[in-house]
Amino acid sequence: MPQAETGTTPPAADPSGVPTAAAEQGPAPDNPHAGESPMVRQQLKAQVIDTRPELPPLPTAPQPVLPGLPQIPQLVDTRPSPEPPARPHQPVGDPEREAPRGVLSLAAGGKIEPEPAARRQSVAAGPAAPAAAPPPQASPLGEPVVLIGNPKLRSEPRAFPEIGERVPDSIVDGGEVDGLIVRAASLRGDDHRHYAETRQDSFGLYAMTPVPGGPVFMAAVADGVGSETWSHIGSAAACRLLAEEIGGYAEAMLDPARENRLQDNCQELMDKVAGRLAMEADSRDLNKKQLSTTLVGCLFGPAAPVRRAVMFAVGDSPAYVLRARDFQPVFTVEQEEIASSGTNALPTQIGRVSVRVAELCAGDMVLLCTDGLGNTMRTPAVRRQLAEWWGEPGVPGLPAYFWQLSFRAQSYGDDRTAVCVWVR
Amino acid sequence: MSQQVLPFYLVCDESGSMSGAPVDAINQSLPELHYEIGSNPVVTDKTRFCLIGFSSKAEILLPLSDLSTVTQMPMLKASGGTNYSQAFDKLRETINNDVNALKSQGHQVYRPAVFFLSDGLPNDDWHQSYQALVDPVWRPHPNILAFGFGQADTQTIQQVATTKAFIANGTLGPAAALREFAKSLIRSIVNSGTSSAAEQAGGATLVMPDNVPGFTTIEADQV
Repeated sequence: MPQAETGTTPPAADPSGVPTAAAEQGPAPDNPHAGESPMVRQQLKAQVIDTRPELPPLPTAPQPVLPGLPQIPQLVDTRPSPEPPARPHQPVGDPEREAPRGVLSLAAGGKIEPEPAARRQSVAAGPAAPAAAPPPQASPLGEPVVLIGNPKLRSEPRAFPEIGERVPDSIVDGGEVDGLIVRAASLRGDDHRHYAETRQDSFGLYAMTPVPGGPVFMAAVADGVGSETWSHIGSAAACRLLAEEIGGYAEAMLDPARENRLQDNCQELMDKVAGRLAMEADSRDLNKKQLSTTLVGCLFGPAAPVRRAVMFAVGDSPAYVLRARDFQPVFTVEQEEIASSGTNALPTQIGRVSVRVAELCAGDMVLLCTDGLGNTMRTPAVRRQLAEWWGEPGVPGLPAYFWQLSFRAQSYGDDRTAVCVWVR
Repeated sequence: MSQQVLPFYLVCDESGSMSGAPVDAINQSLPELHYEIGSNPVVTDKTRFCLIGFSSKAEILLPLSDLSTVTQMPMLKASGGTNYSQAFDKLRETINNDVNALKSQGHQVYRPAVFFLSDGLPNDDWHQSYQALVDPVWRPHPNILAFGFGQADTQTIQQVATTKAFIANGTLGPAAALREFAKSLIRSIVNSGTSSAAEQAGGATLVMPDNVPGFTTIEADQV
């Protein structure tokens, strides 16, 4: 059942508990920024105190062994047991249960196909299968589940943002290309909804023109830096420009023989994207920093002989590989113990581009997201629930995917964007 | 239950010299602070507030709280001397307990922010207590904004601050200046709890006032 805010009702919205003297002050302004005396957003960043040791260890991926560019090692023996695990937050009508996907699905008893290779063959033999699958059953999703705390902030859009080129509250997309099944959504954070501000996250999905042995798909996620007014333009432009620029690099990036050049190629690619983003700022008469955005991308190669994926990032938007219901972070997580000067961001502060290569097998899922989702995943309950929804065999339908990503989490009011790519 | 929590501490001088208009101004501002923070769900979901009063002794007047669950705000009462050691010791102990409690509940705790307000010269040697409070080895050491007015000594206030110091400059009377102080505290909490104000830390960046009417801003003394 969705855990709507049951039990104790938070008194937040109820002004009756407020002393009379205060009540006479009238309602709080909707937007505390409007008309205030000057507040400078200091560079001083509130540091997380010593959270790392407290956190449950993030997924215990074996450390990469390949010299030079690290690879996510294959895990062959850690498939989940045939028994389906408990589903603590099973929502009403989780579509993944009711809509088996043709030949790729778990049987009702939870038998899992043993061999990745066999799966890929199943895909190839697939077209006739859907007809045999039972039709999905309609089922209401209800309100999103609450996974952290008891949010007093409501999750609903209020006034329309008054800003140039505002973007829709949320967008959902999906598709399938060469054995990759894609679900993507970008949701405006509840803070932005409350304050009638626009969503600043973006994503991009790009199927490539098929060339034998060539790249097949690229996904990108970008998080516009919160303090910059035009960062929603910046994040959207970064995704678009990456797609426009990657063509010249994609083949080389995926070529194992040219892996020694991979870091340089990614760096050069990001420099190009940054250069064009800076030009975009000029053409709009904006300061370059006003378009500041992170950018994380993943380039997928063809299924055969082995599915390679190159992941690259500027800034703190994370990527994970979900394998055996375990989210393995792709990039090294930086220590947050010490005050940092903020995340790297295009176009002005690229730093060293994070680059990783993964060899994927059937059943893996690559997740690119913004920290609006990534930060919540430090909570075990969130990781567990997402693994439930997105682990094998599940590829949710679009409505279910949007509903899942809409889970509630007290104090996490940031925009939330996630692109999931399942490997078949 | 792993929320992001940004704790705020108001450490307020309630020595005898604060009696009358100054203490009244703060007391009138507290319900306003309560309302502004407690009724803003964006902010109240992420922030906690604690009030410590000090004179010859220091006392927790409001334990670290989610203001949306607080029904009554405490009042300051002016009496006694001005003992900074007491204030800093109590503050350090309180922060330590609070942060440990929050972490044991699984929360991610951001560096606490302290608004320190004083009107007088301390009548004790407070440096040792202060060093313990700002010791970088002690992980939850807070960011301190210090406000001085009345008899407060500029250099002392500057030394107490780790980030910014504000000295009343006489352009406003004590009551008006303290109302401005309270407003700047409210704005700091509201804006810090609002993710659009944050850099990218998902709503946990301390947003400090740049200028406060009636006060002159001084950079904190570098230790």
